[in-house]
Amino acid sequence: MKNRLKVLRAERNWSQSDLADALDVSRQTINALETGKYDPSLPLAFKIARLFGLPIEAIFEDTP
Amino acid sequence: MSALEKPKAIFSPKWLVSVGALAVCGAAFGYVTGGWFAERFPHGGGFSYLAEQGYPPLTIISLVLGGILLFIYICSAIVYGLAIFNKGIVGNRVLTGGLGSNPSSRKAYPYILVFYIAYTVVFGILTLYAAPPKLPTSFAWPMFLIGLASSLAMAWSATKLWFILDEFFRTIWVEACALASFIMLVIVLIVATAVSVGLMPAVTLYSGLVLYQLIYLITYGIVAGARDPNMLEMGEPEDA
Repeated sequence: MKNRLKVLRAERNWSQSDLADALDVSRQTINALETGKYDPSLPLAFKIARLFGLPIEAIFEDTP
Repeated sequence: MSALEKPKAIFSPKWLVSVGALAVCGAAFGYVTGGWFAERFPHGGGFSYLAEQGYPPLTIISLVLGGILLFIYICSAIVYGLAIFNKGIVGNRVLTGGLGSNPSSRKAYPYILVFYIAYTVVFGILTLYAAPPKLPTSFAWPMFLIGLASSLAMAWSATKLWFILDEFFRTIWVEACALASFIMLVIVLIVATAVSVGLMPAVTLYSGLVLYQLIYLITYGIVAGARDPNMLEMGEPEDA
C-alpha cells in the first residue's frame, strides 16, 4: 500500500521522531510505514488521518 | 546527507569493531570451555563420553545446541539489563534487536530482562536434566516448582510486553511465531511418521524444544529483516 506520509510530514517540517511522538508509536513504525514495509492497523490509520486532518483515502492508496 | 548518500552500516569501522569484539569474546569463550573439556575428558571429547553413556547422536547435538542457546539467552539478559541503565546500549539497535531508544522500547526493557532470566532458568533446568549426570530424585519437586515459577514469569512478562510494544513490533512477533509454529508442525508430522513406522528412533521433547527455538530465531530474523529495513544499523536511522 502506498502512502503520502513522508510528503505530509515534510510539508509540516516534522522529523520521523516528531511524527512518532505525535502518534505514540516508535520511530521504527514510522520508518517502516514510509518505506512501504508495513501497513498500519485501522486504529493507527484513523489516528494518522485525524492528525493530518485528512480522510484516510487522501493519505493511503490501495495498490491492487 | 540523504538516504541515498549515507554510508552503509555493514563494513563501517564501528561495525567491524563490534564484529571483531564479538569474535574475540567467542574465541575467549571457546578457549576456556575447550580447556575445561580437555581437562575433564582427557581421553576423548565430550561427544564420545556422551555416546559411551548411551546418548543417541540427535540428543548429543541437541545438548550442544541447547548449550549455545542458553549462552545466547544469558547474553541477551545481560544486554537488556544493561539497556535499562546504559545510554550507549539503548542507542545501539543491533544489540537491542531493533527496539532502540524510543519510549515504548525503554518501557519494555525491564520486562524483556525478566523474560530472558526466566527463560534461562527453565531452559537451564531442562538442559541439566537432559545431560548426565542425573540429579538425585530429591531435587525433582524443587526443580519442577522453580521451572513452573519461571514459566509463569515468562508468561507474565510476555503479556506485559504485548501491551507495551507498539503494533509494528507486535506484528513482527506474531508473524515470526506463526511462521515458526507452522514450520515446526510440518517437521513434527514428518518426524512422528518416521518414528511411528520405525524408520528412526524416538526423539526427546528436549530435542524438539531446541529445534523449535532455532527455527524461531531464524524466522524472527527473516521477518524482522523484511519489516525493519534498518535493523542492522546500530544507531537511529536517518529520516527516510
